Amino acid sequence: MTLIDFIVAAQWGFLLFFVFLNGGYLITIFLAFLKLPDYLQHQVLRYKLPRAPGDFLPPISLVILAYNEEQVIVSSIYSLLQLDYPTFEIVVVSDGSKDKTLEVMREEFRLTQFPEAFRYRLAHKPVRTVYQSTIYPKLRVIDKENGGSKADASNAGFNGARFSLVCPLDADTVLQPDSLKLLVQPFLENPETIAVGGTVRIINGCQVQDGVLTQKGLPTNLLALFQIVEYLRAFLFARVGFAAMNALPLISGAFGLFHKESVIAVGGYKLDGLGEDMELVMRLHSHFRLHGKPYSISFVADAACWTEVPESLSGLGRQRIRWQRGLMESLMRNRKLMFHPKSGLLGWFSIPFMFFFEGIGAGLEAVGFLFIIASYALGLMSLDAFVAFIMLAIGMGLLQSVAAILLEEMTFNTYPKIRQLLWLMFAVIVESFGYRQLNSLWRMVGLFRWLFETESIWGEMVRTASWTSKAVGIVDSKRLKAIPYSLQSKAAGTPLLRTKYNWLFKTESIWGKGGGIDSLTVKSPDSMTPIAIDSEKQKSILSSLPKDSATGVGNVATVLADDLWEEAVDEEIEHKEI
Amino acid sequence: MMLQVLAFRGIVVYRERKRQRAKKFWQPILLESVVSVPLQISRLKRSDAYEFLTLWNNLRESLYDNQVEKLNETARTAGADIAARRFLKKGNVRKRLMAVRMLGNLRDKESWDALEELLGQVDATLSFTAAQALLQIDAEKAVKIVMPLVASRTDWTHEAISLMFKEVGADVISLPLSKAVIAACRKNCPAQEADTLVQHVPPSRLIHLMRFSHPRFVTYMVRYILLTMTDLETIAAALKVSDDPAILPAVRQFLSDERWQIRVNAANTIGRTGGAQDEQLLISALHDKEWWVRYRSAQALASLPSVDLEKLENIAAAQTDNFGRDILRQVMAERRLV
Repeated sequence: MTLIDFIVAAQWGFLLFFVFLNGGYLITIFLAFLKLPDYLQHQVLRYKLPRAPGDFLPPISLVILAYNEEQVIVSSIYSLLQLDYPTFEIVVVSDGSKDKTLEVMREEFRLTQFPEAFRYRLAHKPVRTVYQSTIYPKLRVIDKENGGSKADASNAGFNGARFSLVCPLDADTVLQPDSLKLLVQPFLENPETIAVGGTVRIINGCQVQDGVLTQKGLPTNLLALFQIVEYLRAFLFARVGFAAMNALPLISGAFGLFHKESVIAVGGYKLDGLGEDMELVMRLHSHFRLHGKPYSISFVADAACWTEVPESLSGLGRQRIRWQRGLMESLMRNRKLMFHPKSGLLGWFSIPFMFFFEGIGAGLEAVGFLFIIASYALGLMSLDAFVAFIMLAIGMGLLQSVAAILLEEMTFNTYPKIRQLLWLMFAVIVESFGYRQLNSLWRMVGLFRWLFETESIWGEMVRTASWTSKAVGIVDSKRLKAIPYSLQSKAAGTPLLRTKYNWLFKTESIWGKGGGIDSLTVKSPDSMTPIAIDSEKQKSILSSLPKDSATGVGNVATVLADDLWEEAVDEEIEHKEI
Repeated sequence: MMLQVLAFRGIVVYRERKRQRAKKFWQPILLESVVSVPLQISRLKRSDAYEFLTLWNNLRESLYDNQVEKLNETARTAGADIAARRFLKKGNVRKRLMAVRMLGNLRDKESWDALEELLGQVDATLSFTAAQALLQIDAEKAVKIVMPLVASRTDWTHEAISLMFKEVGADVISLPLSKAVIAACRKNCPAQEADTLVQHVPPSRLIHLMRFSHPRFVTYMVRYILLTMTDLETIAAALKVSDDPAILPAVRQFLSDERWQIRVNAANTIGRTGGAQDEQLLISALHDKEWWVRYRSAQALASLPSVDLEKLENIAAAQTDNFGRDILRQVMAERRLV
């Protein structure tokens, strides 16, 4: 074979690779367009009407993994305390933080040492102390020695969780109030469900107040903006498509729900390596499929969490290199699944897709681009063929991104302003020239590092937390003392009729109603600042509202809760006496 | 394709404006009609029908049953029931679901046959919503059709069925549910009535729903199950719904069952219904090899009327191994926090 023959064969090889790569993506796009709008049509009653089986949902343990998170941890916990879910607990795993993560929690939530008979069912570094909040019974904190990996902390969280469904979360994750109710659905619909993934959305550019997402927005930072397009592609297409085939190879570590006993049965997270979230899901697949046990691993596109992404090239580069290494480690550790007779579409589509296109494909993609450019530069490729190839490669990338935005428009319409849509379109075009290629390069570096087995370490993510404002709890004694006990009703209008959930009220010109309350905002009568309360408290308030104390608009009831503040003051006094 | 996205945005904006127009027109009328039927109600335009149904259902489900008479009258005067029946025949899933819900909320007897037909749909959401509607229209009649499906339609979620049964009430469901449980338990008996449907269903699915029955039915069923059944899930489910001290003698035996899942549930049941005579039994369960049994036994012990914190401390001090002592310390700390 001459050099020319080799180059021609290689050119065809790369072309074929790009055809298969984009063909694979097109299959997931097709499935997503087929499945997602139909799924959302079925959710209409849940979204639009108040009658729902909320009281009968299974309890969930939320596990927050915190390592040096003093900036965001309080806000995150308040955000979770306000979730619209009947029964849940919050288990924070402080992974030997070197900053004041533990101290700020201890002060804000009045943590006290708790003599828990801790069970070490999964391996991790020893637990130093378990704390219990004295004001929020559903909050516990596990303080453990640093294990050097997220997997180590996650295993401690699973050991400490009391309920059979466990949702591990990053400390900077903000959930939408209804996220858990949506995420739990596959467990209700199919008892064979062992894990469910939710959508991860980007919080950069959004506004969060008191732990609640108050305004969805797009970031001005271009890198964060490009990642929004990437995340849309990943979550709306790949996850929905793979899940439709019961062949979902990955649940994001930022937001997933697991059946605890299934995770324990496979040994929990592996302590060595980087892609612990994907590796666990692959191992679950492997365990259940190869043992012939029926199971389902699912994805819920409308259950969303919001998380911060890197805004610097160095931070993003480190993250992508780590992801690539994690991907390859997970795939290789579970390689027996690939083309295994019992592995179904997982082994015959998802894993080969991940291995050949997302795994080693990252290297091939970068090499392919360089090879084609070199071929043209050396005169071994005609200008027409070169332009056609480049246009095709970039055009297919553009097609995927625009299709993702179209699907987003058809389904969630997260960014409703026309300016936001145009800004996203701008990102789609610009990211195709430079950003995507840079990404391929990082992934290739990750691939090489995996190949040559350099040491696996977790880089620290630098969080700006610019989206969050200080959380307001019910324990600030100075503020509590300043509040007058007498109720100063600010009800906007005259209450007319008490309904199951709220009061109908009427002003001179506007009718308001509170049918279908999804959440309750309790505000102090003087400053109208929100107070965090748990769902049991919400229920009791809703059922015992005095006639002139509530106004409601849309799906959120606002209570000017003087009596609740009196209760809080009592608690404060009681605490001081202790 | 980018133009397509922009065009789609245009459609979304247009639809939203239309929706807002319909809402602005109908919402005040609907709210007004909660207290009195408005004097003039115009006929519902086809283009407003879906938004009307949504607003009406939302308001209707926020109200107590004694508050809805005038709202129902407004819906019928506007012709919303006709629109809903039209959606039932030809509409997308979204419209059909909203229509089924309205016809149920309206107690629309005319739609009985159409709704019954929907029960057979493969689509679980649609068939379940139809079942809910039928039970709203005529609970006594519907429960005979719906109960076998509750057993056989495993795609209807347990949580949704729980809400449905809670709404229907114990008077209606107690007897048919008990029959269904017995039928599911007697897998080897000759088929009778609806039994063919429930024979292939694990009884535990139905037993969990017994908590919405009258207590005397629950007691009878639990006793029957504990005496005749052996499989883990069925017994565990029966222990979970048992709240009658009369069954305690049978329950106590299960605290030494070889399956830990059953021991856990037995401890829970004793905690709910037991008395001073169960203290020793629960203390011995504190040494169980399974953490959950120890934990639930400690909780059960703490919840017995005869045991206070001081007594718990004495029991903890008397423990000869760490297992019992540690778990009691944890439970005592929980109690103190409460």
